[in-house]
Amino acid sequence: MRLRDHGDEMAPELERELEAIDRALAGEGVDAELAELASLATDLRDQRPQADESWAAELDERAEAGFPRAGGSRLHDLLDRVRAIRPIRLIAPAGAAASLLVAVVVGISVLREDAADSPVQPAAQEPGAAVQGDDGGGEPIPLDEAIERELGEGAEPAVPGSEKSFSVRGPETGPGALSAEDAGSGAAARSSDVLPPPGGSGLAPGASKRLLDRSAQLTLTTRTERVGEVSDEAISIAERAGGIVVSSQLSERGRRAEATLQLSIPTRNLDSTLDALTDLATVRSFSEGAVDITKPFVSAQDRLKDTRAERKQLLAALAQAGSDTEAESIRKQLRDARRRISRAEADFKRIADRARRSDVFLTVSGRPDQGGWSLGDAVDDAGDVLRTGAGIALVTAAVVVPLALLLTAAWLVLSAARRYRRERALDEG
Amino acid sequence: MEQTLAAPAGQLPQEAEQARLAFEALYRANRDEVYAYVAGLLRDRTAAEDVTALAFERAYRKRRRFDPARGSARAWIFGIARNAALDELRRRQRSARLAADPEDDRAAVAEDAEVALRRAALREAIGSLEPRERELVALKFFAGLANSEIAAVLGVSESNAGTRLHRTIEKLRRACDEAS
Repeated sequence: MRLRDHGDEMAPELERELEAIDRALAGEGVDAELAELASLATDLRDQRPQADESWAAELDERAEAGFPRAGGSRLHDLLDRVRAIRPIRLIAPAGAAASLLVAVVVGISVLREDAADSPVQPAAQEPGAAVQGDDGGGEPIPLDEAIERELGEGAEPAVPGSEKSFSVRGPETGPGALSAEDAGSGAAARSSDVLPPPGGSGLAPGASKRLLDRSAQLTLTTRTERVGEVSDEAISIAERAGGIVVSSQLSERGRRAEATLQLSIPTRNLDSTLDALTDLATVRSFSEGAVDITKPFVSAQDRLKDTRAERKQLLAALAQAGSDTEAESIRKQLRDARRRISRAEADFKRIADRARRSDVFLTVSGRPDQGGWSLGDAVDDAGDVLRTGAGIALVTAAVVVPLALLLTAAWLVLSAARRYRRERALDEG
Repeated sequence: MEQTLAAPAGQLPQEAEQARLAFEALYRANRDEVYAYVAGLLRDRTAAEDVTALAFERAYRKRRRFDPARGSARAWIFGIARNAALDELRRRQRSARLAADPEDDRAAVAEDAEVALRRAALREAIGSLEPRERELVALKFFAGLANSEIAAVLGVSESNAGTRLHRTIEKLRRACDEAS
């Protein structure tokens, strides 16, 4: 089995004597000087233990019957067949099983990804999430109109079909005495229209006080060659809704393309705009967010109101000034007040714009045409299959090879230990 | 016996029968030799019978794993028997004297006195051997294995087996000379 002779030879005398022993055991003659050795050999052979005949007969019967087990069964036969398989022959089937398992796992993962990419319907908007109901107490007016009145600008025309409205009490108007220099600034015209209602926050009593800064993220998928077309249609929809394009970007790489747009849409038209956008192509993902900005809005409105009231008081004081010095001091304060009013108006406009307009982040992602299958498509698909197969084989090897090495090492160690223990039995016996 | 002891998968009945007959031939050709070797090693008749039966049963169950390219069937069966005997030795950790064979007694009566004395001295000398030396005697003289087969069973080179066998015989010779 092992350790065959590799050139090491016995001494000639030793070989001669061993040969003499073999000849003696075979019944052949030996040299006279080795007769004693031959006699010893035959004497040793004569010491051979003889088996009991009854035991031998019983064993013969068992051997002829194939050594049946007590209560033997097909299970034992099956186990014998399994044990008879050399471990090395199990490597290939084990590797095939592992490959199949990895292929199934990869396939399930891919199917799950495809399911995640399936068309997504925009989540139904929660009723009242961004719409203020009117609970009475004062005549409700559209937010835009209220803000424009606050700022003294003309209200934007509403988009037909828009039904959203916000209940915000408009500012009350009142008399105000203005000097000539104040009239020249244009503030006079505005002040006559935008004085806030006394003692109020600008909101109709009892009305919901929520104002929201809304935004939406929308991803559409379409064929690569339609990405530009869909982007143009999205821009048209936004413009028809009174919106503008804040930024746009189109990138192409190989057979894929992607366009990203940031649209600013009047909040009152946001829902209808989103509905129209989702009809352009397959929706891959959609999310919407809202930040409550009621407090900042009210704060900005109050600050504006306060600064204007201060100016009104200064104007009244100016009319009552008793001297040029006093009048000059009051005028100086009026100049400061106008600057503060400008800042307050800017802050109010900024926060109001957040409520009036909503950002829509639109991504249009293009995929290669799923329709016709060209030779190029076949080459790409073949490459994908080969890459996937190579990946599976690599992962399988990464799993099987270390496992096989570990099992082999363990088997070698156990076998060596068993051999050692058996050999030691001879030494201790 | 260089032949397959088990029919391949998808075997025909004829091939299965041939495989069975091959194993049976191996059994019948080596039954007494295996017993003699095991008995010589364990020096216990009852244990030798159990171990010999176990060895052939294990060989039968493993017959499909026998590879002729790795050695002879004879060396293969003796290897199985050796492992079974060593397992028994480990389990018992004793060496009982082999019960006297009735045939031996009858032979002693008919023998020359000098021969009887010589063989008695030889038996005593065998009993004084180390287990490894006794194993060599059992393989060579009780089982009748050739030096190459002994080397295969022990897992050593043929020259190593021959050298160790010669040393053992020299030891027996000296023991017999001292006894006489």
